[in-house]
Amino acid sequence: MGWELLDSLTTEEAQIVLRNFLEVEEKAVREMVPAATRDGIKADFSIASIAPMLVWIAGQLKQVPIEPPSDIPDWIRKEHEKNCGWMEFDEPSKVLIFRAGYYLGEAFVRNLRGLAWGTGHPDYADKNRPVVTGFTAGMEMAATTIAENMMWRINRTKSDEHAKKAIAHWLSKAPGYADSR
Amino acid sequence: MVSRGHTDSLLTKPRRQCIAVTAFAGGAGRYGAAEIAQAQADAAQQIKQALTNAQTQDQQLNQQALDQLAGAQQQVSTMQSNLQAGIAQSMQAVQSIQSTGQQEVTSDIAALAKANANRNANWATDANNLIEQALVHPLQEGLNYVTMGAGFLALIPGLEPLMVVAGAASLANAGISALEGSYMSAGMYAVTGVIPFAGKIADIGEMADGAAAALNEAAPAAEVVASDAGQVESQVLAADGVAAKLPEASPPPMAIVPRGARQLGRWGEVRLSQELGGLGIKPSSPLITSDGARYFDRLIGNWAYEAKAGINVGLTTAIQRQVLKDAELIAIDRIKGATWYFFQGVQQQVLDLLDQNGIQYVVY
Repeated sequence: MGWELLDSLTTEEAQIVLRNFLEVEEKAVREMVPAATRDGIKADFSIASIAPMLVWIAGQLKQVPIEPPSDIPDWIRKEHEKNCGWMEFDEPSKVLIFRAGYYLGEAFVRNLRGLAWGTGHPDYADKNRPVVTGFTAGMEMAATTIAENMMWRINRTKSDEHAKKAIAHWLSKAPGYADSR
Repeated sequence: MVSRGHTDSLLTKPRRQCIAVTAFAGGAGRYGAAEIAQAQADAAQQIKQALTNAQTQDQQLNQQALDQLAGAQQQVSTMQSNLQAGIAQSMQAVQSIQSTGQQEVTSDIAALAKANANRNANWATDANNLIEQALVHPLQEGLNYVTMGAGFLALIPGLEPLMVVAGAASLANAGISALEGSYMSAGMYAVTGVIPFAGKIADIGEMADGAAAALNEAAPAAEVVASDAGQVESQVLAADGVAAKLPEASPPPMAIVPRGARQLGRWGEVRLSQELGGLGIKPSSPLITSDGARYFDRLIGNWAYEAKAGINVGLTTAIQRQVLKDAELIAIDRIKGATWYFFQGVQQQVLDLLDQNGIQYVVY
């Protein structure tokens, strides 16, 4: 996802982007929930619903091939082809990735005390992005990027196993997780 | 009376016939042998004159046809000369390009020019065949008719019937007509440029000239391209030669691979940058892990690439921490995966740790 633009924003501007993101995605996901429910997905923002919801959204994503740069050696081209493939999500899929990111982050925020939406720390790579803050060791959940990677792996492996483990990792870093169990 | 009358009438018929014969004989009798001979001589003279006239006419037509044929052949010859000159120029340009060009584009240009030249040559051959079939053959055929007619005339004795002369003349005229018809449909129209293939012949010459001119214009540019391509190729080969030697250097010269750990790290980044061809983003900021910040050399589509330029990289605490950071970032799906590159060797312990944590690697 093209987040580079956010690097140039001020903290105040990043807050505006965050509020807009939350407002737009909350409405969009609310409208998306009935469709997920019709497909048997319990989209109630519970932690348990995250993986099924991501699997459901991942099934609607579409990747399109991109042209690899012409100035790289063949073995690099093949290496990256093996790792990720020269593909990217199409525009409708990118919109769905935003919704998946919102659902992932919002589920954590709603269920775990101490977590909240915020903007990425200016000293780190996720600067100014919408992130979930409050994890141990100052970690921040760049929800949209993580949701994208989760769904990429779900589609690649045809399994939600890694996504479930990733959710568990994040839970383990949430200070209120022990209290919520 | 009736009977006599009838008898008379019966008797008069033979008599009248006799009179008629007598009249003929009497007529002959009116002209003497000399007169008859004179009449025959006059008739013979008239026949000879008619023969002479017919032969003269035939010869004139024959000469006219030959002149027209010669004109057509001269024009065709001129066209062929121009065509040959154009083809020669084209081939010369092709050879010039081929001699200076070493790249595929130049070969393509040469192949195209060759194809054009061959096509022009084929057109010339076809045009010649058409001319020969449509012009020369009918003309020769017509001349054969004339010759045949004249031959008949030559065989006629002086006192042969005029109808023979008339027949011979008709035959000769028929031959000329056939000849003229063929000319009109081939030679004459061809010469005047009405018939399509005559225009094609002219076009061939122009096309050959045009192709030669275009090739001559393109030749300098092609030479420049070829020259540039040659230089680039030399540079690439030289660069490949250097690159091929670098991984084999153990230990590498100080001038190429500095020994200081920090400098080695920088060298590795530069090398990785070269290997990646500038692809991806050099993150200006680190990712957050539970063990602190993690800087990567490159991130391509959320896949991390890390360069290790140290000699025989061992499992130090710093390396171990980096591995675990990467493993955590993969585990929480902050990155899709990571690949480490070792340019000057790595110890098996490091590779084992990478394997245990699902991190890929490439060892040179």
